[in-house]
Amino acid sequence: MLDSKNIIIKGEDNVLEAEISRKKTNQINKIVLLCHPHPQFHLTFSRKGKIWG
Amino acid sequence: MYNNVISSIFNELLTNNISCLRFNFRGVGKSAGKQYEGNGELTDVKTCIDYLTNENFDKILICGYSYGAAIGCSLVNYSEIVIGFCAISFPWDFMGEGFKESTQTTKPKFFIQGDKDNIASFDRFDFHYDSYMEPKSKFIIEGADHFYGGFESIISQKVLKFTRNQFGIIT
Repeated sequence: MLDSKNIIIKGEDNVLEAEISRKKTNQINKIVLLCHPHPQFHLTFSRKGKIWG
Repeated sequence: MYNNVISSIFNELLTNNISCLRFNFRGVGKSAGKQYEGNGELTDVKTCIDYLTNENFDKILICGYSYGAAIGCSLVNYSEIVIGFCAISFPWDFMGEGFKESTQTTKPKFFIQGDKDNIASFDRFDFHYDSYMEPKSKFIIEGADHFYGGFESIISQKVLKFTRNQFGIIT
């Protein structure tokens, strides 16, 4: 299992909080980029009432 | 940085030794700035792709859920190293036609949809799905609404399988 670490990504006009897991052996050059749903919408309408934490 | 669907996929990929990046859009958590309801968030995805490019990744598969599907998958043609996308509950009907146009691509596309979803409406799913060019595939989850409570494992397994296929990982 991979380890993950929290990172900060700096863009031209923004600074993003991210978490990356990275394989160190083969398949090292391939990665999935995950994109979250809208936080306010899902916080408001989620059945559990707490999606973001 | 927690959502039941995204966290389930992240953990499944982690367990199966597939590299993965998740991030908070601007204005969420420790990410700076304010939410822009679209344009700024598109820049956020570009920022992540540029970061991964600089980190020497040469194949990126985008996977987005709901709003994240519309925003993230819209960058499928931003770079040649983006090889396709997986969209979960793509909200075509309230995000606008522009997001459907920007996600048109000859790259592989995989759509996951709950048949009880009345937010990214299942009633209109085939209408939108049929408008996409090949290659494409879909998986309908019976009984799942927009929030997929209790269906996280099914989704993460389907995403894992699609990812392995696109990355050429033989198990």
